[in-house]
Amino acid sequence: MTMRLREAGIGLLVLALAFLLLIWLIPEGIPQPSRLREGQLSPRFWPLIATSILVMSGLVLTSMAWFEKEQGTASDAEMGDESLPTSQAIAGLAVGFVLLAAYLWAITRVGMVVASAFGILLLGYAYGERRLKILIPVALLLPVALYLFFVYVAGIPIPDPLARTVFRAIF
Amino acid sequence: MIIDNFAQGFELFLGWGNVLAILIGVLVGIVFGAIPGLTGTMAVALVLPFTFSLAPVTGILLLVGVYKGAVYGGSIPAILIKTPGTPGGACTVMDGYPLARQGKAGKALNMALYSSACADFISNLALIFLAGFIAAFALRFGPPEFFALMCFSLTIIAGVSGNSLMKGLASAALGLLLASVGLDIIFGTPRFAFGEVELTAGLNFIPILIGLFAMPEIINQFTKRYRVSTRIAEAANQRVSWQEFKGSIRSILRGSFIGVVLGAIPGIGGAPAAFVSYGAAQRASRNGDNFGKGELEGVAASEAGNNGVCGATMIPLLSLGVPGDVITAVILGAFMIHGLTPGPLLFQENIDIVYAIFCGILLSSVFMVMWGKLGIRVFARIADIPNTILFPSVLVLCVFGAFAVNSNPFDVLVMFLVGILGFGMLKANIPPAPFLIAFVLGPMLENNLRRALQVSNGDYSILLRNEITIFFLALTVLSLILITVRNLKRWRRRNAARRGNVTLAD
Repeated sequence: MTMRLREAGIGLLVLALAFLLLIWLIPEGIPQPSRLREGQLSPRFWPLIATSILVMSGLVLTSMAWFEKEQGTASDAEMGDESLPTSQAIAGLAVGFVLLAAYLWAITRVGMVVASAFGILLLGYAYGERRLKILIPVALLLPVALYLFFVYVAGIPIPDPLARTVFRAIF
Repeated sequence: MIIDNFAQGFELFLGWGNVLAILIGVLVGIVFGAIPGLTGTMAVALVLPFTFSLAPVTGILLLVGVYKGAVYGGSIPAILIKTPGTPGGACTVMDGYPLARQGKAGKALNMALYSSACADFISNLALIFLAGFIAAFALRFGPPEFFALMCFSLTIIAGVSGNSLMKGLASAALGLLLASVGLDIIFGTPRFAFGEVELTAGLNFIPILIGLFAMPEIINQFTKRYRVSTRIAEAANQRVSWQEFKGSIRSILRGSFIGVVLGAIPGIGGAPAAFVSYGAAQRASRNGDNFGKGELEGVAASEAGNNGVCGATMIPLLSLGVPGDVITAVILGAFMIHGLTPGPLLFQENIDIVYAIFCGILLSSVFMVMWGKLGIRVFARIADIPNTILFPSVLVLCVFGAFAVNSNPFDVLVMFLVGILGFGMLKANIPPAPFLIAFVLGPMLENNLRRALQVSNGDYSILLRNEITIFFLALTVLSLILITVRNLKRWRRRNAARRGNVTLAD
């Protein structure tokens, strides 16, 4: 995909979001008090201003991409980073999203400490870390340390049945 | 008169208990501030019960120490892991994290510490010597004045938009839209809630902050193969040279002044002050173009603005009995628990206590430097942890932090979703900073505009009712003209360069 196409795509995406807001999200998502006509006191006033900014920026982005012959090359590479080839990057992203979704699901099902321990282990492995001698202690110690800090120092209840049972028995 | 008061206060302050209280308070505050999701308010509220059995001065100094430490502590994760510990630390991410990626984490941490301590000290001096004057000025701020100030603050979006102002504006519009989720302030009707109870309460700042900055990096890791780029010894031993500090001193002083003025106005807080200070420094600096790419002056400016607020929020509290933010509201509670009522009466009946607190507050800046210098040696090592270990650990920290805000897994979900949005923005080169600025300032702008128009029955002339609104609106217009001219010049230069390239190619 050329830079010009990519920039035009971003502009069109912004416009599409703006139209979605105008057609569905604002009319359905913000009820208008019956005694109030549209105006600066309306709850829709500010979202409409934000949407009009989106429309304007989407139009300008698309037209700039359309009329300009060449765009500056944008690079998101940072120091020390090495980008994977596109197919590998897409596969990596797919694996990543599955792992993150599973982690999110596990937090409420098995508890934050256990889910986080497995999360660190699997994410670290997916990132390419093969030194299990480092990864396993981090996966075990960090969630436990955070649990102890949040529960016993900050007084914030962290949902984890296993950790609660174990640490109640200890303390 | 003031010297007599100081002598009286110093006599009351002198004692190991008070010194220890402020020493421990600053340390506790730094630890809480450095953990994303644990806010200064939370830290002060947690420490409050411990002050019940202490003497009034000791107890209040402990709380003030926690407050100041927490504000500074937020800069540490902002620089090292792109996850601001406090809302005010969000601005520090913009230059702090790029510096850490360049292997200059130690320099960024040191600059954040020095500018925080300087701004804190200046803010404390303002509290002691200018409290009456600043409180009188702050009391003149009503909805129209707030609106004018917020308009001016939003002009910094242009400065943090990078190469594309339009992408910056789109990002800001998204921030405004997300900030409008929740109940409408005037009618109490839900906006973008779609029947979900959690959405009716609005979106909390912390999960948005973490999702926008830390999560995109974590997701982006899956598309990259990382190499370790910094070394422990390098990061831990990096110092800020006198030349570097001197180069940022104007921004530190300016930021401190901005922090003092904005901090004294109840309801503004550290984040807007940091952004306004950053914007002003970017406009004034010779290295303005380097802001956002890893500029030490940027770190100095944002931390000066953020910490300049600390002493100043105590001005309306002590002189008028009006808390400037949530933390000072908790401190107000502590005063009352100890049988003291902040306000003019406090200065008449308990002047020795007021000046004893002033003595302790001045010492807090010194302890901040002390703990900060010790902490940097430890914290800087984080920059050397391989990303394959660091990023999963950061994710877990973020999940705990986002959950801790309301003890609600919904906030973790919000963090993940905003993270996906942030990743999309990263790939499309849409800057996240305007999103964040709009998310913070948007509700203040909207609420104050609507309140002002409600008061005036829809008459817009209320927005020009005095010299304060005229001053800030004139500054806004001037800034917009300058931004337009600068962007036009940049566009022409770019086109001319391209024409040159085409001719050469022909």
